[in-house]
Amino acid sequence: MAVPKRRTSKSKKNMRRAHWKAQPPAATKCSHCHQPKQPHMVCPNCGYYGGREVIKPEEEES
Amino acid sequence: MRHNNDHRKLSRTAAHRKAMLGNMVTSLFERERITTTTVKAKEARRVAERMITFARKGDLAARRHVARTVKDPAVLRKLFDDIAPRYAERPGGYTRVLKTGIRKGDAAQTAILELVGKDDKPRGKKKSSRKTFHKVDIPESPVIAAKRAAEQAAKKDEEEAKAAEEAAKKAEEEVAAAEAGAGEAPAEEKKE
Ligand SMILES: [Zn+2]
Repeated sequence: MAVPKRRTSKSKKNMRRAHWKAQPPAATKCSHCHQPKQPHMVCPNCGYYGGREVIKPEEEES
Repeated sequence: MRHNNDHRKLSRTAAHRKAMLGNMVTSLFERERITTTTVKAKEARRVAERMITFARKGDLAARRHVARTVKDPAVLRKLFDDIAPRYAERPGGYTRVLKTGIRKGDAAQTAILELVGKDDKPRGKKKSSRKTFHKVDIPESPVIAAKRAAEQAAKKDEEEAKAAEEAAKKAEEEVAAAEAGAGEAPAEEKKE
């Protein structure tokens, strides 16, 4: 069975993982309050979606 | 291959899943809107749409069939007498899923499942590529038929009342004119 001859060095390991990055979530602007929001989601700021529906009144920050 | 991938299992046994979806749909019909996870909302939506389509039929067989899912008799009545007539003209699509973000605690994607409003129109910017809509051929529910008949009767009554009122007015005017002719000088009286 094929088996590694050398243990992977820290350098090689880190080089491999240098491309392993998290992407920020996609964001759009709310058409009602112009705050950033995620696409296809009810705006967490003003509770609007589709231009009209107030899905939830503003969430109270506690 | 997606053979036999008909529905989501929701990490539950068949009985558990069936019971849960029944409860969710019952709550939806009772409250018009429920908040759950996106995946559960999408599964419950299928069941809810089917139940409304059955309710639109409105006969006893449909009622019994729906009663297997909607266990609460009061909600069942509401579904057949109140919800189904709302959608008499709508070819499916009685519900809507709105995503509402990530839940704290388990990071689940949450959503609202709600019944669409009676006057909500499809809001596509583009014209649908579907030229012909699938016609849902459902015989009219006796409940809806009765409601329509009552509405028409009310309208007719209203019209008749209006006609009678007008006739009465006309008669009154004629009487007034005749009186004025007899008493002479109708113009002066009117000026006062
Ligand atoms: Zn907003």
